Amino acid sequence: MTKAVVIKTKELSITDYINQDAIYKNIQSVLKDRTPQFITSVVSLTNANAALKEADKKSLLGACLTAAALNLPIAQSLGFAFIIPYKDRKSNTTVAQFQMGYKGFIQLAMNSGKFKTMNVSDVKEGEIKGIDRLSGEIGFEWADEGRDKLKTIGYVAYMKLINGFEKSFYMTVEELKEHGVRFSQTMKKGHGLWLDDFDSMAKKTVIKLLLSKYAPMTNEMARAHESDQAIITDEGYKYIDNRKETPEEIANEKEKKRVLEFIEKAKDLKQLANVQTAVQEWQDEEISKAYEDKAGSLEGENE
Amino acid sequence: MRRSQKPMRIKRAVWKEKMNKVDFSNYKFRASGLVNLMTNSRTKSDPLGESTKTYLRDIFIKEVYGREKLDIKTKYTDKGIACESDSLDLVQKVTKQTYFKNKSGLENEWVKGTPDIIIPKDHIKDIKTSWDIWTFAKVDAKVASDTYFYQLFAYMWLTETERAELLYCLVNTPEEIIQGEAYRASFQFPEIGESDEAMAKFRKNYLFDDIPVKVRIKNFWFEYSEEEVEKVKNKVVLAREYLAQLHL
Repeated sequence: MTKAVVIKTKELSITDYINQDAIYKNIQSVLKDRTPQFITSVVSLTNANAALKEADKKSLLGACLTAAALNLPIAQSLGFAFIIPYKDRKSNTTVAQFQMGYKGFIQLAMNSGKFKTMNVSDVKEGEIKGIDRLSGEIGFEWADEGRDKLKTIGYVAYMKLINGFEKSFYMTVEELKEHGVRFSQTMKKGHGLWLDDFDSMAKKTVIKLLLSKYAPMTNEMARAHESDQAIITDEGYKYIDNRKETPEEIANEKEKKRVLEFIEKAKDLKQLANVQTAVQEWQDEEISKAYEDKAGSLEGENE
Repeated sequence: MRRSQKPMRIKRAVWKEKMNKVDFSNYKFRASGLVNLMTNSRTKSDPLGESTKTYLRDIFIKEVYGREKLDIKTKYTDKGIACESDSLDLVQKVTKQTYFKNKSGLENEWVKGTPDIIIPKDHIKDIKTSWDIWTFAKVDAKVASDTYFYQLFAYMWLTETERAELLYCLVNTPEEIIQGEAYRASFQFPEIGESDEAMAKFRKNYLFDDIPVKVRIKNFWFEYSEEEVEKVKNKVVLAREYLAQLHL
């Protein structure tokens, strides 16, 4: 009788996980002689990010392999591709999500050999000089001196193909923020790449939309579009960030925030006692810990 | 021989096998649905009335066959659920009292429910979030009582309190709901998608920060009565009997 062997992936370090025979062979079959370099970059990525260390190893490796298959480096500082830890509340696990950087899209476009040029830029106040109603193209007059001090009002992506076709795509900062709120759960919660690095996310968005609307699609480009913001699983791509929150989830999150804020602001033990019933009812680790810590510190103040 | 012109009465064979065996003899009704049970029947011979029977049929289908009508959940209930905390915040701002949402469900032999706020041995509070300024403006003592008296009554019964406060709150609509509404409205009013001014005007109907907090709350008090307990018990007995004999 065959006994099923269950590998508890969460307990292994990333190095141990990758060095398992089957996993290593799988990586080698995809990356061949690039394998050692790939493993080094995965290990240094997880060492630099505590949340990624906790992430489900399968999704982490899937995200890193997707980047490698597209020939994009995963070092966050380079901005070609990002591996983002994401807390999946449904399964109460952290998973790794693959995200394309705007430089990654430019790189893939240029690698296709079909593009003469491709660029993206922020647009400052006063730089838009009119719109050609016929072609839909926007005319720009770029500021030179003191440009950094001018307010950014939008972002524009531009491409020109070898065959002469050219196109630009412009979005205002407001439109981009709305896009971020609509497509990123983390931005709604007040953190994540959209808030930490709005400039890069805005550039990526205009480039991605320009390419998806007007550019010739190569296999790599199609794969990049499909895998962007996905959790790579055995069953295929899973788009966790685009999942709409249910009203119940929104309500729970808001109420949890209220409880935590109240605990944080409580000035004495008497005030803190007002939240005791709520703490018991929530049975939430974070809330209980915040309550105990606060009670401890308030007791300390009293002594 | 001429055939009778009378339509033939076909007695339908009833398949009484049910999917889930549910014992309705001790079925507990949700506080929020109690109003559907307590509507007055138009005829004495039929004490439950048609709308109550429809409500009970829905319960029967849900419990026995596991099907629930999708249209029960609307954008209004979505906002109500998503904005519970915002409404609690508003109540806090106005009353200067902090309340947290109760999460414990309660039940007795007849009804079950989860009041929003329980002030032990004193009263309960239940909070309703209005969809927009027009629905909020329509609320008066009659609307409040007709719609929610029995829900709050059940909460008083369950918590053994004598009073209940119903609070209607007007709070901002979540961005996701506004976007959804704007998308739907843009088919009828294309300018919403085309002009910033039209969009700003549209959004204003869903956001209320410019209105003083005190006028964004309406409250109504209800009192417990033993008489009502008897009325509810009688209706629950009838409803359970009706549920027990229902079939598809």
